[in-house]
Amino acid sequence: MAGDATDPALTIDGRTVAFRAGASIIQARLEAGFSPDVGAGCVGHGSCGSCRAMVRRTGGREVEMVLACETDAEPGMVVSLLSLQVDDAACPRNLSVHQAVVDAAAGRLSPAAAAFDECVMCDLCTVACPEQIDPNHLGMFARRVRAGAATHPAELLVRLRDIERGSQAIDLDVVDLPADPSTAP
Amino acid sequence: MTDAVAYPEALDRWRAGRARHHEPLPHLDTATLLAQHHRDHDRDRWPTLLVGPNAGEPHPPELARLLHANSAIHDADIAGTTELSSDVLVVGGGGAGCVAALTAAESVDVIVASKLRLGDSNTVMAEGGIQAAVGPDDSLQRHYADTIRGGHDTADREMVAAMVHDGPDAIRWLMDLGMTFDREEGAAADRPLRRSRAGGTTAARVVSFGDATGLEMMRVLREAVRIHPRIRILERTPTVELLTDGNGRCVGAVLHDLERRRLVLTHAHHVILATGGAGQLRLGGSPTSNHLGATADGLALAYRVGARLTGADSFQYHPTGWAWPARVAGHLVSEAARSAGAVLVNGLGDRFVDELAARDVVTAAIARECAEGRGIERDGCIGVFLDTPTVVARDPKLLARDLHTLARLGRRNGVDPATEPVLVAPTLHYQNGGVAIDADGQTTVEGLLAAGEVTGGIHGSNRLMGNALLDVCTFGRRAGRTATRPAGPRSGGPVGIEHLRRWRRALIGAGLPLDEVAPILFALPDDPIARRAAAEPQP
Repeated sequence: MAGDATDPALTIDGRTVAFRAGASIIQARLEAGFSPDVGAGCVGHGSCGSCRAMVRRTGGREVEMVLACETDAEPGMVVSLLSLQVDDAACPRNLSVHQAVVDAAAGRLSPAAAAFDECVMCDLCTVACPEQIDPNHLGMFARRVRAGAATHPAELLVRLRDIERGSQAIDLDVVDLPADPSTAP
Repeated sequence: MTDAVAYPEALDRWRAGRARHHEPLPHLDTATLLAQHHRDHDRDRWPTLLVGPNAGEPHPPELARLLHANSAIHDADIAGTTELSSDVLVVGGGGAGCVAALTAAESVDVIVASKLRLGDSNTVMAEGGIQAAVGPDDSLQRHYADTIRGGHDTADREMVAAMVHDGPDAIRWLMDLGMTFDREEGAAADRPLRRSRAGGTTAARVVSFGDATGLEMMRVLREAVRIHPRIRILERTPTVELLTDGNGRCVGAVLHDLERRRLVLTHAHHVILATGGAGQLRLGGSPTSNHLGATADGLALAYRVGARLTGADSFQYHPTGWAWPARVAGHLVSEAARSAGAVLVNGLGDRFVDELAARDVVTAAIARECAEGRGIERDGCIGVFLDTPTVVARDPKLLARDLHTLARLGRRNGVDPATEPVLVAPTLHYQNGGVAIDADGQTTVEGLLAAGEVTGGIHGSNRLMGNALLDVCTFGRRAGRTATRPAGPRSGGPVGIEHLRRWRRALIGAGLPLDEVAPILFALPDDPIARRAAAEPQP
């Protein structure tokens, strides 16, 4: 570990490292000997966007998305650099988030909606999105538009009409209707 | 340990036995089976409630303990606290809470207070689907009759009729809200809903979205609630007590804002209790399919404010929870697998029950196989086989098309349901009863409404697959509508926790301890330190 025992320390990618007061996260990371091959580009200019990181501050519950070069290191802070492409890698379900956003932006709502079939709304893609697109919420919007605009099933509408007309009244005393063999599955 | 057939031998017997699985099953005496092998029939060993509206009735010990519990809140805790007010307060952010909030918010302002993140609930885990009599070969009467018989004729008939009547309209409401349902193949825009048959029913009536129906429903509801201008959402804010006026009418609640570590008094004309289920009580050490939040909070809150419970002693054990590996024990294999034709096979390679009989019957039958040495043992886990390979061989697209969750859990746990049977055992799944309500969602306490799994009367002593999500939608909407009606005249008495004074006197009178605290919110009931830490207000 760098520095002496009195230096403040934070945790970066699972390693607890000391840092100089006033250092940015990315400086602390580089000084601790991490390889600069990922997550470090302009180192403080704030222009390249390579040092995206998830940060949790001491005592806090919120996970923030920050640029590590623009954020001061703090004692006890826990940092994970996002070293992968964030679009689809941010999704623990491996959904095609990036393509779905492209589809939605081009007005192709149906494939955009279908891409989120297995979405669990964990919000990781929204947290990770540098464009602040909120991809999963965009996906839900596409799904809801698609479903809400779909034509209702004819038999559902027939049944609703029958209920309205009173021809589906329920007799509380009739509790034994044997299965109709012609409709068995 | 109970005798059981070792896994490798059971696999051989399963392979050898497949050819005879189409043969008729021996007759089953279901009454005797249920009496001997279903936990609901242990009543003579349960404690009797000593206080409250259901005093004198036996309940499972884990639940009785919560119903006998004290509140963590005292007058000093709520003096000078932050206050909020709204027309309606919804306690719980799962399926029923969100449905109720959206319905009430059509005309009044709503606060939703959720212990966890909005939507983190049993609803989101529901796999099978939602029942509604929409098919031309089906009718409201048939759905009604199936539900009454499925509940062994112990359900409230008016309540069942109300739920069944609302079914088709609930489906339309969900579609209009943007929920996707599986439809039949074809080009027609109005092509029918895909329907499957639930155990214990006489028509194909379950509509679904793959085996993630609850997920699809919950994420649509959550999204709709999030962007609704008349709904305020408080997350990580469990309700720890209800507020009453001088007449015992419920007029709000004491919330615990865990983020800011403070209590918040919330005043409302109507409170809708939608706290969900109780699976995490893990009755008798049972595994559970339930969300971590299912700790019966609403039952404890409602009971000590004077709301009567009905059927709260009755629980559903889903027949097919994963039994192996242990780390997923209790999680569901959807009934959709049995609907698609997968059979249950014991350690001798034999079928032993009609897989689409009512859930309690199938559960008791599995329990009997295991108790009598015909179960299958793998790494200390005991269950029976769900024969997925045979049904996948018949319909190779089944897993990819309808059983995503089974396929995913299989992948994560080194089980390929296409080639090997899944070891399953019953898992605590659903509380059949709960807080008594009428068809408007009104409890026996004025001002207090309830909806969803926390309620009782609708499913009798056994719930059919697909009737939980329907219950959530139907009574969520009914309670939401009721909550928009003008509240009755207030007594003018002071708003507070006067009911707790009476409750504590009753506990003392019955010789019950005052240091048992509920709701437990997060901790398991056998973890008193964590329980108190969660329930007590922080300085």
